[in-house]
Amino acid sequence: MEHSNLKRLVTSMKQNLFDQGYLDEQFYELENLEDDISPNFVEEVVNTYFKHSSRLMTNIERALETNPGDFHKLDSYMQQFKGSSSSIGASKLKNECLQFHEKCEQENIEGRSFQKVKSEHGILKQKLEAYFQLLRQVGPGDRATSSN
Amino acid sequence: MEISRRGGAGPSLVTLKLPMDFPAGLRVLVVDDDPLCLKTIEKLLWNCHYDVTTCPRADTALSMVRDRKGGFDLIMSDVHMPDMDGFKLLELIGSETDLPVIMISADDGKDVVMKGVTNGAVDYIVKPVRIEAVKIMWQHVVRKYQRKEKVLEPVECAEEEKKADENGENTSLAEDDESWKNGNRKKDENDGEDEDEQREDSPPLKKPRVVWSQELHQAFVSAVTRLGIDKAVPKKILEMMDVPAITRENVASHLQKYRLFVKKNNILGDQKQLSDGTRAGYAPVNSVSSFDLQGPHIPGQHMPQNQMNLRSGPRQLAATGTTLSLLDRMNRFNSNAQNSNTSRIVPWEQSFNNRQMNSILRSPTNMESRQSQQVLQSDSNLGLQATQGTSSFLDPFPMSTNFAFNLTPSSACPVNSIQQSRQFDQFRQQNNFTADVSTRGQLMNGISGELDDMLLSNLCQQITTPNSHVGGTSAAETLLPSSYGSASQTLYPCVGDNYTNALAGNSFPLATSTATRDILPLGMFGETVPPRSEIELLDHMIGSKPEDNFAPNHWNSNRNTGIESNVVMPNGTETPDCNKFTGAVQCSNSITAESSAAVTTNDVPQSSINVFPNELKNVVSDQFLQQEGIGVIDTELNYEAFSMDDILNYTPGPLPM
Repeated sequence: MEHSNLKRLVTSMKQNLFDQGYLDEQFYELENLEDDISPNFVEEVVNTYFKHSSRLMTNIERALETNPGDFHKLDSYMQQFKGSSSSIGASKLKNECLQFHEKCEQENIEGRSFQKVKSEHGILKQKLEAYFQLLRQVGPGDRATSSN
Repeated sequence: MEISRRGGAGPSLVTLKLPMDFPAGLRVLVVDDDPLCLKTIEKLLWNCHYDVTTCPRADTALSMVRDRKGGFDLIMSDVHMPDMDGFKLLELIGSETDLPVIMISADDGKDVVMKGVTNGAVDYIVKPVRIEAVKIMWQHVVRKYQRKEKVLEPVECAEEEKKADENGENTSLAEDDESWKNGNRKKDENDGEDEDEQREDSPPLKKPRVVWSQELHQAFVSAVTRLGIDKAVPKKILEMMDVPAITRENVASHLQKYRLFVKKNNILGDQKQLSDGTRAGYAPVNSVSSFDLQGPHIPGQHMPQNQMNLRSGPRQLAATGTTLSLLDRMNRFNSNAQNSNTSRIVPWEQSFNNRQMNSILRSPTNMESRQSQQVLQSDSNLGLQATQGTSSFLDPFPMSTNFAFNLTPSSACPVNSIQQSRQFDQFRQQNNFTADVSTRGQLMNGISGELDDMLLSNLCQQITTPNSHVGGTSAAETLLPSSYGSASQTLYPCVGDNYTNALAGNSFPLATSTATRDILPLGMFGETVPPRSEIELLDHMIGSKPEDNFAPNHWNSNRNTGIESNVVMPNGTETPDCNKFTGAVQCSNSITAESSAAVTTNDVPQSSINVFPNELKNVVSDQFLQQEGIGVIDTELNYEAFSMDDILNYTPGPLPM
């Protein structure tokens, strides 16, 4: 029962993501939004997220390079990033954004401040990509949306 | 969405009759530069059966709102956007429309949230947006309508009243949104000049609002002028004004109105200044809708309150100083637009113009009597209990008693009426601009109160006409849009706009012009009407006898007049504006109020505006000049101008008597 194994794998993978704090309830909310009209809603949203967040991160890095003193602008970017990340339930990433935001407020931004955010972003992207890949194999009907 | 009022002893309850599938179909515009959020929120809203439109840019969103007036019921906007600050968008939308705006952001900082609140956002949602938050978002729309409803109540009631005659149910809820809001909000804040103002009013009802006296308004206007109307922010204005009793919030809302008024004026263009300098706030002709709503529906009583409140806003602007002119204008309108729709408004308005109304009322003019009759009879709902007095239509001001406009607290509207009257009075006195731009209806009301009976009648007629095409039946009713967004809008579109249009002159002349005047007749929106000799005279006259206005008995008498004034101004012409409004209003399938644009008052169709303002100007100025004192108006006003048929036909709403 390859299929059921796959399903189990998907479920445990998702559970891991939650347990490790990569995802939070918001992800469940997204899953709840999925329906017949938008069967791949979550995946689409996540893809959109990574596209947008990559752009945002580029902007942030550029801002850090060109005008590191403009904390207001940095914070503005970070707020957007945080909003985006929280909208897909990216919990850890959201926290990193929060920390970055606090640093902005303290005007204590360094080059590596953003690196943490960036690395978390990379990790999440990897994990979610793997997750969705597996999910696609399982098939839409088998996706178990376990809402808390 | 329909709004029905349940009258009866005690405060009237406005019950919104919502479509069966409410809140399905609620038209929401979501503005966010984050595509992810846009996507998720959109899906969320779709799942709630809302009608979603997304927009990644604020400027595009603003154009959409402007182009599709009445096309949306609710706006959701992100705070941090690259092209425009969310608060700026909030401010712009707030000044141009009365759409409820919800801010969304990941930023939950106190300052940011506070900013949202003070800038007028109805809610602030922190990202991630959950379904729980959006599921009940419709409450803001309902709330808005409810407020508007109060304003419109009289008009709406008219229809209902006919059936429920003598119910005395219709409470005068038609408080001007602003006044109501202000009242509520300002209850605590009001002190200083506000208190004084309020005290003047004898009516015992609350004194909540910050009364924007002439001086205050002038200070405000000069501050805004110095800062530049586009750049003026409440905080700076407050600092410049340096008035202790005012809060930033007061200034913010006043600024909003002012901007709206200015905008309207701009629309009106040259019509801004009616010759008599009366406030263009009252666009009698077009604004029938609002008047209708108020007038006809509620029997005198109802009207007064609501109208009062409403008026307090707009009327004051217009009334202050331009009461006469307004009346004049109304007359003009009448002659132009022989529309009988509802002189209801007039009576109500009249009631507010205590003095004028009294005098006018006293003199049984055809209009009055007929109107009052109608009004009385039809609008018995007003809390004022006009039922008794119905018979006295003929007697314009059944001061004595016939009119049962007893501001009995138990009546549905009494409280409101009193408040309204007080507010109105205050408003008039001070030329406050409390016009709630958001509700045209209010303007109408406000205007009526201010205006002399005749004027009111005229207005009503004129007003009603527009309404009629708005919804045909009762402006008020039409106002109740079956779908979102229409109700209130329909009601208002004409009215408000009309007023502004017609009374273009009244609208804020912008700081520049006001400077010269001592009295700042405030247009509908409280903008200062450009100083004109006539207007000044009028203002002076109006302002000079505040006590009259505020005297409760004035109010009563006003009520009488109110009744008459219910005769809606024959809007015959219905100025194209109205039509447009209605059109706009109706655009959305559902409700007449479609024209949120109309409602937003900005949309007054130019055509209509043009029609009236000139007329009004003439009328007003003439009358204004002639009028010497309170109540002089009636002589000026040509009641004959109204077509009695119109008046008679119009189902008077509760007249504020």
